[in-house]
Amino acid sequence: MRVEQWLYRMRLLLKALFRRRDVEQELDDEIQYHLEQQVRLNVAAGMPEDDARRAARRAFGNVEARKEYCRDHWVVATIDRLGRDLRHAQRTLGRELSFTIGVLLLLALGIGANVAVFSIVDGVLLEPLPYDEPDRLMIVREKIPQLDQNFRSVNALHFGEWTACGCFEEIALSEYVQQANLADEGDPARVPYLRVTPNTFSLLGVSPQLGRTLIPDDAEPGGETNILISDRLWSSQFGSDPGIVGRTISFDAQPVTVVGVLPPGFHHHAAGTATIDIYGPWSLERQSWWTWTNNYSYTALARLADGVSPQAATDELNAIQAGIARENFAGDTAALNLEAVLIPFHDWVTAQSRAGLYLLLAAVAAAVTVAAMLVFGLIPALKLMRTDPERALETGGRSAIDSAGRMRGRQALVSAELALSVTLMIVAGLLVASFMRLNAVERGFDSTNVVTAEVSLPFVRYQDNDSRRRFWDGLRAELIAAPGVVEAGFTSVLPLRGNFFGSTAIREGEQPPAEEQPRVQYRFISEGYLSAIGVPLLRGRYLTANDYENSGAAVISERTARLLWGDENPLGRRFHWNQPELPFEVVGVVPDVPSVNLETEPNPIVYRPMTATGSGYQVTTLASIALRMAGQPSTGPSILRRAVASLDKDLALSRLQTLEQIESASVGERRFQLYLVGGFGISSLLIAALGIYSVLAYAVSVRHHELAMRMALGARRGRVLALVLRQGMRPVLVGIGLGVVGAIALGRLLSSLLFGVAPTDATTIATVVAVTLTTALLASVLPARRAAGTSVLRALRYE
Amino acid sequence: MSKPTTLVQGTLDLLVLKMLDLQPMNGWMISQRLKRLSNEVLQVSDGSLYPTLHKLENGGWITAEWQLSENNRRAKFYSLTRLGTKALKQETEDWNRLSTAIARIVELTRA
Repeated sequence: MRVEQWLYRMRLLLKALFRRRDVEQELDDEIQYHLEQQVRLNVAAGMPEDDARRAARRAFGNVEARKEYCRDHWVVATIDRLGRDLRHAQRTLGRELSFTIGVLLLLALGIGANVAVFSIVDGVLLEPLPYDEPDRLMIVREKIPQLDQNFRSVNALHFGEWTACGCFEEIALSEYVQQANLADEGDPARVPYLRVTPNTFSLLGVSPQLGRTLIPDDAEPGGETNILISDRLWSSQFGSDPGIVGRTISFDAQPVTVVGVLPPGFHHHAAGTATIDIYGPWSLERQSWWTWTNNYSYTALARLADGVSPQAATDELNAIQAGIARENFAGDTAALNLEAVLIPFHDWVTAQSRAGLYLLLAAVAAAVTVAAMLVFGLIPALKLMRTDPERALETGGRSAIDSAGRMRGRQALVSAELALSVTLMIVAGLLVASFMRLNAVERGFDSTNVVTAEVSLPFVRYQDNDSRRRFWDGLRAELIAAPGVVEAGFTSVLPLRGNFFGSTAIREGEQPPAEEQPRVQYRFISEGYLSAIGVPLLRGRYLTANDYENSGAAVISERTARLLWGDENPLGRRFHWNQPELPFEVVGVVPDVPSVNLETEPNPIVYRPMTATGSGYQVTTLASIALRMAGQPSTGPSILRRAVASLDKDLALSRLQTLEQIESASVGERRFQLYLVGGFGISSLLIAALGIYSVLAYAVSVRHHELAMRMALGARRGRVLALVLRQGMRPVLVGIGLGVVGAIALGRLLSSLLFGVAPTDATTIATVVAVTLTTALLASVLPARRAAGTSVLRALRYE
Repeated sequence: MSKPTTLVQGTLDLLVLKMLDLQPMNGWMISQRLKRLSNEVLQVSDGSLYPTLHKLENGGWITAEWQLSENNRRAKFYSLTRLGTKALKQETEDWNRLSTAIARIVELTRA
């Protein structure tokens, strides 16, 4: 349409909006003119004036109706109609203001929660990873089927063989995340640090915002001091200095050169949730301690070659794996196989949260459905009943007959609402039961009043064992001398912080084949650590400061004792990991402590002194501190900082947390799910109760007359009460039945979210059914009592 | 003479556009001219002309202006816009196609 036509229409619209009286007047004038002309013609033809006027009007038709048709065509008509509808809505809704507000709030809440949860699901599960062609990215995992139940991280030597596979465009490797001390101007900081093969960035398709990313030369001798820094570190530590590229900074007391700054928001998902601040080059340079069947501790990320399917790549990779096993597995590992699997990167990243998020999504959707049913199905009944029960009677039996079908429909809605809310509540109940069981899990340690932090010694300044031992011994002495400190100690890894170092534990004098060697977790600790975290001694003694230099002393957990010696007394027994020349001797036994999280069975643990040396062992440079305070641990952090600074002012603390926080974080996601599903379960039950009430109240108002008659004819109050209750409870029982069936059907999907409770747990189901029945009864009793209180006289008066 | 024929749906638009293509006119003039030209065969109820005029005006096919009529009274005169001229051409073609098609069928004789 041409511009001038639009302008003309716009003028009509504006005129109609702001000079409505003129527009109406013109419409009137136009029609009046027509009528007058007709009258004139009629008179000229010889009609009397009055007849002429009547005839003109007859010929024209209903003037007001014609005007209305004209107005319908006006540009302004749409706005007119909207205004009329709004005025109507305002009139009808205004009457039930509080009710309307309540329903709107409920809907808003439901929709809001839905949007929130969906946006999380969308962001976490549906959004593709922010890399080039993310569909072709695969995580490689491998296992020796005779030894491992599950696929795990990869062996660096195997990785070296895979780079030749034509199935990959590129394959990159990253180490585990480490913390390092960064000393520049200002306070020393501990930053997360990750070593990766230089091709990682071209594989992901990431360009730097400054300088360059890593190149293959960086993995060659001389290039290893080139590093990339994150945008966060660039702004927080270097004030976004544009001259940062080429600058040398002190990193774990070693000079390194910044060659580039990564773009803002870059996150390498292979590093898990940790945000890495420094990336250094990792090179496939053989380390003396690498073996072909151990050290599965690296993450391999591959980009499939163009046009190669994941299945084809897996097959090709497994052919390489078979070759590796054939050529390199020897001795007692010769009979072992080696397998690999490719997992889409996106699946691997989201695996942790997927089940939980789908649960939330389902819970929210169910709650919104229940609310919507109420609004569209049951509120009309409730409103009818609330506004004019008398009028419903005035119309006699008609309304009762009229609504018999609709009543059945409403009862079906009540059943559906209850089914959904019962399902939600059973799921919530199962989560509650899991949570309670989880909290009752035997910890083996006591988390009250314990502060923890991590510290690592830069290798260049602590090259020999003596300097390291001096530091650790000195730090412990400083700490236990501080006011309010009960005990202090160090460990390679704290409880609930995951596994760190697993290896074999072989009884002295035995040499079982590889697949039969018991596997345990090793922890390297100092004197005082076990008592600092409250692990009691069951037998023997704790490790002491004298357990160093060729010490074989080991404290073992109950599971380790059972694994190695069954019910026999383990004290004084000897074992080794794979060096028979350095046997360990059991000096004490302690309870099991969970290492991954509360729901995973504790691993068998062997505690070794972190200061033990001999046969190439070295005093560790990285440790977590545990500090037990006499009271509230609020002064703990400052005590820790002061003590560390007094020994080495360039060292920084990281991961400062109380042991209680670590404990609580390990169940944090579970608690969140519990609150959300529980909240939705309870609110949907309340909504369903409102539904029961409205349907029954309406039914009673419709049957008012009949009930009054029954009572007049001698029916006792109790009988009428029972009659109404029976009517109310029928859809309730159907709904509860369906809900229980639904929950049981869902059970299999839920089992990964539950702990120590079966999806069909009878106690939970029975409790939910009882609560629902009670609520439904309460909701039914009000209308039933009103029915039983019906006065015959009053009912008849309405006739 | 047979009874006046009711208008085929939508043809009133075409007729009004055609009238205004001859010269700008007010509603009264259009109604009189229609009656005369069709020999009273097309009996448009006077009132139903006005909704059509308002529809065409608000749709941008015709514009309106208040002018003095031949008997010196103020009346609303409509005239075609360029869009209206185009619409008239289209509607005329459509009408010709339709009427030819109907005529061809109605005039069939038994074999």
